[in-house]
Amino acid sequence: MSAAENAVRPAAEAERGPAKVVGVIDIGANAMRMVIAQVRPDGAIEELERTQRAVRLGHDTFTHGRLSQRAMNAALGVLRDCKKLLATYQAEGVRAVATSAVREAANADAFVDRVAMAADLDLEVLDPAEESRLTVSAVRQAVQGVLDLGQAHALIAEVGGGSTLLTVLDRGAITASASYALGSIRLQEHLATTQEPQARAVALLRQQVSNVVEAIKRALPLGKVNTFVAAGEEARFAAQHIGQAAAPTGRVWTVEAKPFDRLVADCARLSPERLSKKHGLPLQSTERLVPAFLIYHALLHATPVERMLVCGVSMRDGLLLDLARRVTGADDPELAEGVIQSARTIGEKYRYDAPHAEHVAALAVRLFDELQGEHGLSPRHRLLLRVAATLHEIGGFVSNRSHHKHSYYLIANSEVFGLRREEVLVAAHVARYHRRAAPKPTHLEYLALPREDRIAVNKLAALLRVADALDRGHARQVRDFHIERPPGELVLYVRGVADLTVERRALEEKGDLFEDTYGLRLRLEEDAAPAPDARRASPME
Amino acid sequence: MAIEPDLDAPELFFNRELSWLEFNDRVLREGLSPDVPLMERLKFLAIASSNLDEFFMVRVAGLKQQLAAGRTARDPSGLTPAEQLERISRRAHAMVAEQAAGIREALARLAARGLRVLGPAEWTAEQRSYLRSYFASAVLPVLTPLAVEELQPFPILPGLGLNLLLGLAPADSADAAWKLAVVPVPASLPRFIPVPAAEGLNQAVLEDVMVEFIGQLFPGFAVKAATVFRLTRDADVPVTDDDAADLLQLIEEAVRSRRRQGVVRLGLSAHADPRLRDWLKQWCEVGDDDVYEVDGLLDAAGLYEIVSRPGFEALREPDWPPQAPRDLLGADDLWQAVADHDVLLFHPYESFQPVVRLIELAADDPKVIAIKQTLYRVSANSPIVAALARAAEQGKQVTALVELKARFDEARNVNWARRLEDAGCHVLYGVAGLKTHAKLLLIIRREEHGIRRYVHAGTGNYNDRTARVYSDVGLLTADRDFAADASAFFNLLTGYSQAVGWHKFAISPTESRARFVELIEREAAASTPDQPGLIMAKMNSLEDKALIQALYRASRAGVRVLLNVRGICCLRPGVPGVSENIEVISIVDRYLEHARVFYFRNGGHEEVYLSSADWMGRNLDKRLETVFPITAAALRARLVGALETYFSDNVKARRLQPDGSWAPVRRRGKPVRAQQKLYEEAVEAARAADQAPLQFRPMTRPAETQS
Repeated sequence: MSAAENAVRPAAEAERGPAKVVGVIDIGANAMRMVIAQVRPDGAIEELERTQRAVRLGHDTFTHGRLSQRAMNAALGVLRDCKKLLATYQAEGVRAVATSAVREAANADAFVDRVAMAADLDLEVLDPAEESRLTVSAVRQAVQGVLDLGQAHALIAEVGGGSTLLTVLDRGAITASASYALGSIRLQEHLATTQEPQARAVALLRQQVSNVVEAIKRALPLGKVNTFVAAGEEARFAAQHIGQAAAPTGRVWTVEAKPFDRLVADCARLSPERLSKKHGLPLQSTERLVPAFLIYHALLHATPVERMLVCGVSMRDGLLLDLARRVTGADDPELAEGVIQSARTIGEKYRYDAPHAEHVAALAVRLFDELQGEHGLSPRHRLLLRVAATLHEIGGFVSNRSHHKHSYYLIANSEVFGLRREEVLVAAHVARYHRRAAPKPTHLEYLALPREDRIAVNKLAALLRVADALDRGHARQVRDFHIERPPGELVLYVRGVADLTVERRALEEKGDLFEDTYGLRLRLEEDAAPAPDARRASPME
Repeated sequence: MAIEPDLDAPELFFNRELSWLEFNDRVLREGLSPDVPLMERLKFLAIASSNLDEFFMVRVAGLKQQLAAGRTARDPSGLTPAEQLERISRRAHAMVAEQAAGIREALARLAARGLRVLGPAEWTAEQRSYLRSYFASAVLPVLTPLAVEELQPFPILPGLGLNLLLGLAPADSADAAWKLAVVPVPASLPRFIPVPAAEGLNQAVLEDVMVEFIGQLFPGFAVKAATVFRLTRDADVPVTDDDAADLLQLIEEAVRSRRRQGVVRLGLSAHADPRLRDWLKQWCEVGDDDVYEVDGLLDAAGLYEIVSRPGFEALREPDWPPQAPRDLLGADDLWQAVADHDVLLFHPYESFQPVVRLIELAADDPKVIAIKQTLYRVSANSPIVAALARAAEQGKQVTALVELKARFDEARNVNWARRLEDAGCHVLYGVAGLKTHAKLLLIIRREEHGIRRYVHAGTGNYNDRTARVYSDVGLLTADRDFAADASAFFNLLTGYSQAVGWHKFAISPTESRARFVELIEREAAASTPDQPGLIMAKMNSLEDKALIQALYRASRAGVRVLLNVRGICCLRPGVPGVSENIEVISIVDRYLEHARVFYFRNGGHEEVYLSSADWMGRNLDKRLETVFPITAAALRARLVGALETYFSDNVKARRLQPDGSWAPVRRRGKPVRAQQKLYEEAVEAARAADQAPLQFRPMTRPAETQS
């Protein structure tokens, strides 16, 4: 390398090491999209390529309930092209995801399998909670400096081809998130509006949208919302026409309700063909425009808000942020908070003993951190342990008898914001094994888990059992302890508790899994002396 | 408020064919101008001739097809195809006569300088005998006479070649009916044959020699009459690529079939025997309007042979060797230079070599992982094609879009395409239904700190030869938005993606026109009497009706519109209430003006765009083109300066008059010849860099050494 080449390079840049190229592929209801980007060591994302191909998988799923061979083949062809582009950049991380069009198809598994075989891609079928989480994560980043989500009661809406994702943020924390079967393609397919005269088609669409929005009003506290954030392609189209740029990044706009009303009315009068001509858009885009507009419109007017904040980001940007965090190793604290908040909301629904749940969760996490060297699990598992601990006793809502089993299926059938389906299942299993029998080959659901997840369940459930034993009396006696580790043992010195008999007995009952899993004998001792400063820690964070 | 004029009125538009003929007339004017060095005059005379050939092969042929199909639709200027053909014929006949006179005059002047082209009457006995033996030894063996026993079928003669038509009679019978024979003039032989002479360079013309001695080919016959003739055939063979299994093959077939297309023009020597003339007319199925009798050289493009004779430097323009590009002066690492700042390349004042070098560097650079490029017209033995092939052989991912449909270059393009494919390039043969005219190069390089992409986008083809004579502008940049757009453009071409929205580009056929209309309308909207808007636009041709009407509206809004249109201009300037604020100039000089540059004052926030597209319907609707802004202020300023230089030209510039004629720009003050001034500026910049005081480049603070 020439001296000059070295010389002109800023020194700061040279120290940071190379950027990593990552790709995300999103298989939606009407199109397949890919973003290839490079992530700098400081987390900055530079987009390299953005591609989009119209493949209307949603058409099949929403009308016939399954993907046709033809659509699958088309999708595989596109994925192979995507792989070629990814190969150009020698991309190191690729995440391929699919949403409602695949999720709801009866033959989704066959498709996932074909993708793996033919395109060598591990296709992840996102559940709605994960979709919302990704969108919210991208929105959070995009609105930085424009809007303080920490002060807002916000409704974030993304209208897709198959579904509308709604998330309620209360002063920054996610309090509710849900997916509604209200999508621009789905609406058309259901109502076969493409065959109807324009005015009648729009009337039908309005009726259908209004029905669903009424249901949404009953489920979500829309009346309290003071900030309406819209993400999605059609919202961006509206913003580009009647919006005011709200951020210099060009990714956030404000759209006032009145002009939006007019735009929606204007567009609704025109057929997709005429819209296409007027705006120079492909017909496939304009067919979706009016259904999507009607959904945003109805949602906006279901809140007391007078304007939309349109965010030019999508779930793909959230996927990129995820990948970027993986590159930089950074965690997303807001995300974790969202997950925990969501778990609490579920707990409340099943009238959990919140103080006990929180206490056990804190103890469990403390143990997790202490034993990091033994279990070698990721921060993500720490989060799952926390969710499991928060919800471990919700089965009591059904019946106290075998409440661990009730906890299992209540959790397994909940949408925990920000967790993927498989993650929810892990948390559900951890909760299931917080008492009574340890995992056994006769437990079919447990056996159905992938091996890695089974191991994680064992390790995490062992910790939860110990934590739960430490609060057997639900009195939150054990607050402060330090740990010592003579060979083959783990000793918990508990401060400020005179009598640990109850806890010891509980540990004898529940410590078996811990000893089996970690190969350490567990002992509980009263700690009379004050704990050394370095060791002192409160499990309450 | 004045009455809104009808902007569809035919009198507001010039016919595009007639306007093109006026362009060719401007080329011809250079060939006739006493101010132009003799050898250059011959060049312009030759160019006017080959231009006209192409015009007949494509445009006139197209009109004739329309006529044959019974079309009577009027063009924006209100003419039917029949009316257009009639006017074209009248204008072209006058032009051909003037050109022939011009050639005679130029050759006479050349004779005075020692370079003589001799007619048979001027041959000395010695020369005559030399030519007789030349004919026997060099010409006769390669002749292929085609006897025409009957009138049908007429032999299939390729277009544009010279032929002799002979009326033969048996030597022993004076009044027998003529037999006819056609003898093609071999294209493989020199057109001008040096002959022995006491002084200077004396030459005879091949077809004269053939006419004189052709009797040797037909023993027993007497040549009763002879004429040289030349056919121009319809070359407008449509290639329907919408369902082409093998486009390569299709193109090859189209090229072959051009030989059999109908004749659209018959050229023949003046004073030809009327019987031969009538026979030819009948055979070719052409009318009197399509017959062009030339008193002198048929096919003046042959004059190139004289122009390319070495020597006679006093009769030529001084050489203007391309200079090192201003933005690359002192840069020893091309990658680094481009990564540091955008680079403007103004050819041929500045060398095209950096573009070639960049591709060659890329081919051998282990850091480069992919190269993507459009190739429209490439030179013979193109170093760019060679570099791309080498890059592919070294395992880089090379994507080349070879536009097979580039007219008259199809055959050559097929060859390049095959060569690149053999080397392992991913070769695309254009996009169905659209010609890919955009000039775009993308190099993806994995550098120490990640991926960096380098883009070259320009107004000219990736052709190192024409870059010496075409005036074009190119931009080298590592700007991320540009790179993302270039990637997206190639994804569009390769079918990897649909259009996903552009950061900086506007492309044809989808957005270019709308973008330009928007820019013009913005200028009109912001124009006030105190601060009138200003548009300066330079292009090859202005034909698109929507854009012309937008310019009319801008003129009405008070925007000053300065147009530098080299070729066709259908806009009529100086019409009161419509286009009185519009001025159109054209520059025909030693370099072919080919850059497309567009300037908008935009209330002081000046914007400059480059484009591969002219403002013509075909560019905006039928081609894949790119329009992109120049964002670096210094580069923008240079382009604004260049545009202003063109508009200050009072040597070569001509101004379009409201009646459609072009008059030399008479402006007092010192003479300004734009091309010369631009060249001198390039020389000055390079010299200034050379003479910069010796400067050490401290390694610790290296950024200071970069401009």
